[in-house]
Amino acid sequence: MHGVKAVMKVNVRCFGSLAEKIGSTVTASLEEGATLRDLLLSLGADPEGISVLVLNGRQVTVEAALQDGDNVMLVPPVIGGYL
Amino acid sequence: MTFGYHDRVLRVDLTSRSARSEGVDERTWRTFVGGAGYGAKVLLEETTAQTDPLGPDNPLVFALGPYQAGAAPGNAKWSVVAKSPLTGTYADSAAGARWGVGLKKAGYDALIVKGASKTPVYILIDDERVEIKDAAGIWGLDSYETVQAVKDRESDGSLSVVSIGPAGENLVRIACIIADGHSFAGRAGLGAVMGSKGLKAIAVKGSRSVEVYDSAALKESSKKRFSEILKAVRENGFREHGTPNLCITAEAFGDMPIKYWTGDVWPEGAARIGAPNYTKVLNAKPLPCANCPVGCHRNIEVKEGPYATSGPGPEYETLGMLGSNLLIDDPEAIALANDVCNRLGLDTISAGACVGLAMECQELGYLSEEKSGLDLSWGNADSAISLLKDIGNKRGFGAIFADGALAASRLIHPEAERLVAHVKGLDLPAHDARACWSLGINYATCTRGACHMRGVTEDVEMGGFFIPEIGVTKDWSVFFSPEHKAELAVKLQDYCAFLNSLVICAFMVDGGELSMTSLLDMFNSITGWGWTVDDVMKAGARITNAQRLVNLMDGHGRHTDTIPYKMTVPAKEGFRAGQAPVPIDMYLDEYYGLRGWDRSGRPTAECLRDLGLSEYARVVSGAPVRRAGACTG
Ligand code: SF4
Repeated sequence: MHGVKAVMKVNVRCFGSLAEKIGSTVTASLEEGATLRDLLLSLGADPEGISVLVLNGRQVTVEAALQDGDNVMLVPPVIGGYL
Repeated sequence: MTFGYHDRVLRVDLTSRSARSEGVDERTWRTFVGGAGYGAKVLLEETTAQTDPLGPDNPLVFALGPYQAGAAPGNAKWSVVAKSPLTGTYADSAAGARWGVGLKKAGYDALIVKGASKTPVYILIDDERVEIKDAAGIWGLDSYETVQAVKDRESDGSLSVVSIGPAGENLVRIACIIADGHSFAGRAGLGAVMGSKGLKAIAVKGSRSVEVYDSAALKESSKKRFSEILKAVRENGFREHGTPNLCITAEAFGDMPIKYWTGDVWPEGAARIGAPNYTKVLNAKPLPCANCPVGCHRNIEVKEGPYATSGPGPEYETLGMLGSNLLIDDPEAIALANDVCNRLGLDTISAGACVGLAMECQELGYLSEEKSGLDLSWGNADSAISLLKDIGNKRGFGAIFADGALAASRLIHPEAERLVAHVKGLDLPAHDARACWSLGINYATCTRGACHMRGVTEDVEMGGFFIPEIGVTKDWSVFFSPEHKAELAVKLQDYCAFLNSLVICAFMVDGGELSMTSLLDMFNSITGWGWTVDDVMKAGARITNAQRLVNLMDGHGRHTDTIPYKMTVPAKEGFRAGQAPVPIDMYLDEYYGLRGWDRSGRPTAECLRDLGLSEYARVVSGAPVRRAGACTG
């Protein structure tokens, strides 16, 4: 299959306003070697507008490389409770 | 004359049933700003370690700041300060609605209530007219009914009214103060202080304006900031969903209380009680305070069924403490439990802690159904509601919680005290210090006990709130690392101390994205003081230190700068699985060092001198503070 990049699947969980825009859980298909930035762009989300990126339970940056079967959490800015 | 201030406070003595106004000079405002800062000054000068929080000498200070001059966004907030009957030391709480703006319009920067009336009364303030009136027939009503009853009695629907419910009357030490039936000064039991004075309500209105330094500039920037904040909260979902918008995210981060801090994950429950389901099921709409573009409060309606209710809906804190904390996943049931607390005048956070403790005690065999008269199994909403009613009315088994969860634990079982999640007697709010490590040091050192709003450090960690002007940037949004946590707590405690003295609703800056620069710009338009970021942070540090001095006077110190045992137990599953926060002692040295305090947590003489607080240095040496000039009239 020379010249055709393998496809990997990544499980994505979105929060807050992002969940309303994209859906609370999505499975994204990406070319091998893709980063979180590529994932966000493919989902139509602004890579700079995400506050917390979690990859397999660990906090990472948008440059983190993804692998098939990865679990990603995307969290836009949120605010705390109040009384 | 000081721009932004009337330069006078109103003193009411309920023992002698007298009232008089007292002048305040600009130096006081420049030192303490107003609100929580001014309240700390009153407590430093007019209380001792012996002052009984429920005695007539405890001053109950309702304080405003310069921000109430004009109509800047988020200016409905006011602070109430007193010695807390729950913690025995300094406490402030804040609420909004229209009341603070009303008191400012009546011509006062603060109202200080002392003494105690033998029979129930309410206070009416209408410009110069200050009357102490008989509350017979109103005493005993719930907090919402009281607002209407006072308006009816005065035949004046334009009044703004703060009230207490039966919990405050019964001196339940987790009672709150309610503004206009929809905004709550919830924490630390200040409703019981009001009840101890026989004071059921305070109604205000007025017609006086305050002069500001640059009225045109203030108007223009207020208008601009209002639009910017509105745009931000529309985009981030805060306007549409309010604080319930946080539930799903908070649970995913392990930040939400689950099973009174013994559970780790509850995604399906969080999805049921949080937005967007909350908004749909409860028909929730924004219920803003005056001059507020955010409208975080919710107006809800459950038309029918066993939990039918309407009015102010549960906030995130309530969803946490009366929902996930108890494993109650029915938003309608939580809405009714919230309504019960609101009407009785109970702090929903501490009330949730009491019910959580009772449920945990039953599970562990420390408390029998026979003794409580209730099936307190996790998730039993009807039992929770029944217990809340009994706590607020101080009757039956519920009366055991009249002095709060910590005191109740000692009466329930010899082993129960270690279960109570509190700092200095104040129950933890709905944020887990094992998820956001900065909360550990913030809870341990916060001057009113465990509080997330006198620091909001969790919102920095969760990536929702940054203040680049003081170096708090996205780089500080890092989980499970001790780096910057003590520094974050210091900076945000000081900034929040300034905000609570200004007084501005913290949601304008946290959530509404009002920058420190924009806020400073409005502040300087009001006062003309030309303050810089450094001036703001120094004022915040001064106020925090003044509050700390009250804590020290009342016997607190390093030995009570702690976090509860439960906050040291790592999770077995979920986002924070296996993570245990760094022991609090390690942060304390760093925190004290940053503050200029000694190793026992006392400000050094140099620190106090730098902050302009030398006159209060005697507190640190254990000697009584000057009372000369303190007015008791
Ligand atoms: S954000 Fe909420 S608490 Fe703050 S002023 Fe607006 S409605 Fe009131």
